[in-house]
Amino acid sequence: MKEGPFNARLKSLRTPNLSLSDLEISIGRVKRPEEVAEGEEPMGPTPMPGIKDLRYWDEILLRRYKPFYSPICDMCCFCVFGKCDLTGNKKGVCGMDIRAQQGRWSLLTAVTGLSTHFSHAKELVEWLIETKGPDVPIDMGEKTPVEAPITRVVTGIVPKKISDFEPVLDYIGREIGDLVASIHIGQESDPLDFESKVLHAGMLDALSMEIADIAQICALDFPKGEIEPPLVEFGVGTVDINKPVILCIGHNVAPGSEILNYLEEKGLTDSVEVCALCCTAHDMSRYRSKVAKIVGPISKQKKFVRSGFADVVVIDEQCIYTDLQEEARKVKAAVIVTSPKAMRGFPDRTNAPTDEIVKELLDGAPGVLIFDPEKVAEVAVRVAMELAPRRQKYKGLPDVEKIVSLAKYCKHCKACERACPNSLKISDAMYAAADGDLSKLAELEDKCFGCGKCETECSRNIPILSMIVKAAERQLKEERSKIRAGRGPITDYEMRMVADTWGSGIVPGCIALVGCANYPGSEREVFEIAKEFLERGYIVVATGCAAMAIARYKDEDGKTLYEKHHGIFDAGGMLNVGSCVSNAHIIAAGIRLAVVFARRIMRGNFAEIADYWLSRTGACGIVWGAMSQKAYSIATACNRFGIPVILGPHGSKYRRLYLGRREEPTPVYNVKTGKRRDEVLMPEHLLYVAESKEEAIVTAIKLCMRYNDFTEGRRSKIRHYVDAYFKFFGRMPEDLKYLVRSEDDIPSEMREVVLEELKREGWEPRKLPQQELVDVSTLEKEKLWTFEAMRRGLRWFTV
Amino acid sequence: MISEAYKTGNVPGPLTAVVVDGRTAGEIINAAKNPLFVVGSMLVTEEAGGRRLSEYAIEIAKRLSARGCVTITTANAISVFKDVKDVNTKIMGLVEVVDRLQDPNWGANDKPHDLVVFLGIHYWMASQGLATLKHFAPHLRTLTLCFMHHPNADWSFPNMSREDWGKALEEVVQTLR
Repeated sequence: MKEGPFNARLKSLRTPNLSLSDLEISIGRVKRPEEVAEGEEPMGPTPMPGIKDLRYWDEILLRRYKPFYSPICDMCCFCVFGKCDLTGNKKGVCGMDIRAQQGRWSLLTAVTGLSTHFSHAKELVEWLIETKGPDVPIDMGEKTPVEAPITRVVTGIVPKKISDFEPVLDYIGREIGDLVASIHIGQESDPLDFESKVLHAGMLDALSMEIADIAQICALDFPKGEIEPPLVEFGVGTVDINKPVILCIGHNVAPGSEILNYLEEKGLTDSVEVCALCCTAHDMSRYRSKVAKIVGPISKQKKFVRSGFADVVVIDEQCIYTDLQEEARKVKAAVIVTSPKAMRGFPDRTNAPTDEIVKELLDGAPGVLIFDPEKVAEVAVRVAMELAPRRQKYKGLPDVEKIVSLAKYCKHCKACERACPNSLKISDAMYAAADGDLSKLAELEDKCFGCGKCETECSRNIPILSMIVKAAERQLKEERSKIRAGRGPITDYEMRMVADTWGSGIVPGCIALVGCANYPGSEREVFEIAKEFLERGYIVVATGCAAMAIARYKDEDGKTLYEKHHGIFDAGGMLNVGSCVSNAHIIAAGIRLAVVFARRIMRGNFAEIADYWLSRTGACGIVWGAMSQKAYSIATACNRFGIPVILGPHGSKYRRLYLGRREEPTPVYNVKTGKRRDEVLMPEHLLYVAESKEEAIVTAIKLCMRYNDFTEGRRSKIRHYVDAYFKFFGRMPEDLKYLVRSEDDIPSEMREVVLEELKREGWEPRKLPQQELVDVSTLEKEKLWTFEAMRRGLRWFTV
Repeated sequence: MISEAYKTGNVPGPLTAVVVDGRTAGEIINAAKNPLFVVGSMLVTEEAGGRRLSEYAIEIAKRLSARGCVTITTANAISVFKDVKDVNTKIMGLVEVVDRLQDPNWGANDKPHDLVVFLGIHYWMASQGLATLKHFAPHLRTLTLCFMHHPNADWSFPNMSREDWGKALEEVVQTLR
């Protein structure tokens, strides 16, 4: 076949009137693959964009999805001009009103999340260069030739070795400076310009996450997109407390991996139990899946430490309770802190002799600060081995008799319930416990975030969290299951296989369950959401705390969803992508799709790639336990790339959403003709808060719909939407007239009832997008760099 | 009279809700020209005064429907109205309805509203929704009928036990025209 500037291959194409398979289209003469070096991929218009360069793209997004502000504080106390009351239309002394102030808070939150991932990435890359050398190749495996999609899209750089990330990190650092400067008094004032900077921070956050994860995957030999990565032991009950126990907590794998290395070198792997909490746990199990055990997410931090199981607690960075070292001290565990970002008041003993540090900890020093991961490893192992027999698993939990007497002491003022983020019914549980029934206290454990705020509010100093943990001791000890180790990237190979079905909407969507463990109810809800989508044939990907929540529960067959479902990025696949920084691979999946399915240019071509995500790729993120600033910046990263995200109810306290209005038509443009037409806004929202699990499920189904769904694809999505509505709400959805374009979109089995509903709503059929074209919804034709490159006869794609 | 917020950390600013009892709340609703009743996910799970919260919500919704008013059900609250007749309901997400309420011309029944009444919505979502309306919908007054005091509303019940909540809701129902 003669090759041309436009080349396309479709495995299958089905429309109501046409059915084709193995279709290849090639128009005109192009360079043969062997004539084109990889570096010839054309550079798009915005390599390494500054804070002003993608403002035009943000304006497009923000016209469609207007910022929705819900202030959590009516005041501004940011400078010493004030304190200012901004209620209603009042302005502060500086001239800032409440809307702009929310924009500023939004930026502050996003930049905090970004800086945390950036700092994490920088620290990792520097450490890996120092320990493994600058030339560690960026090799993501033969199935993933596009090694770093976000890096390519944002910066134009194609990294070959780990040190190639250094200029990218320099770029992010410069941008953070500009973003933070915008927060200063007397700088930015327009809410939309604040939001553009927020979106910029989000994009840089995605870049930072990608660097961090690719660096550790390549240098530490983590799984590289394996569809069946090893199963890892998960749960409190998997930890052998008869051995010395080292507990690592946080997000930076450096100290944990060195501990595992040290144990191997000394032949002590079987003598010491190594377990971890939070994303450090994910990454340690990606490093040594048979040794490192995953205890759980942040909600288990205080519960596990108070139980007294850990002899040594190693703290690295991010999302670690800031009083955790006090908790460890209460149970006489040794504490080692390792990050300059969380030194926690401990003396820096990095340069002290190891013997001396070990002696200090064994003599009862409250903790030490050691920046050298190798030294951390030796100290942690030696202290654990010597301390364990002495501690004999000292416990900080009250016994049953004590619990009953404490419960009798409770005066039922309910200050604990009001302080509890989820208003757990502690008072009722106390009444039962006073009568010797601890079951109600035990039931609270599943819904308890483990913060201990209840205890700080109790005027009688009742250790409520400890009582809950003790009451739930048996169920915690029985908590044993399996989780797939974080697999890292979605491969280009998988994307080839799923491109036609996902790209056309026949695979109805990819649901990304990400984020923290600040759930509005039971942690089980995350498992239930995942199960619902898997049974519907969606692709479910998970990271961080959410990936762990899914592993905690088993279905009716006694299997976790990781054991029950395949691990391929395809319909019905249940993937643990990895830690927080692995979220980058989820965003990258859509970039890969744009490359495989539409041959979009990646390098420096942000807006066009994001437009593809927004207008073509059915996906939705769910951050059901949103808590941290990082979760906000990750959600914002998704948003700038055109991916909608649903937050759990606590996410309303982030103060800002991006909401659309389905009744307001928005323009879309045909990529070939440039012709504009008005369409129903789709997806309807970019950042949304759902109040219940059921609302999250039906909304996610809807937010997976795209302008360019093929008829079969839209039909499948409508089927799930109507079915889920009946399942959870017992009736037909009221917004079908916005979602059904033509009668062909209606599934045959529900045709009659849907048509009846549409008739009642005054629905009329609309024009379908021309399916043989990629309908770029939001860009003007002259900005379509991919098509300009095709016109010039370039061939750049490597997959 | 003022009250401490249910969530003690929820101290938004100088303008806080006035505490009302059930009878006063009913009169406020009676005085409104086109009140909008917004009910949430707690209708499915909560009890008040030994009765299901949904029973009170349905009673109030029926009285309002008789006046041509609409009840918006958020989240999965619609499920409790499944077999209920004579109630004019619509389904919307809480943030969707609050977003539209910032527009003084918008109405769920195509007429502008002058009062929004919340019942049974997740505490923080309700609080944040009320904050949006406080700042950006000066044409509206807001009332909450939850047992948790909401400082961001114009009028709110004080913090109360579920037993007292049932009594207060009964007063609302009895007072409504």
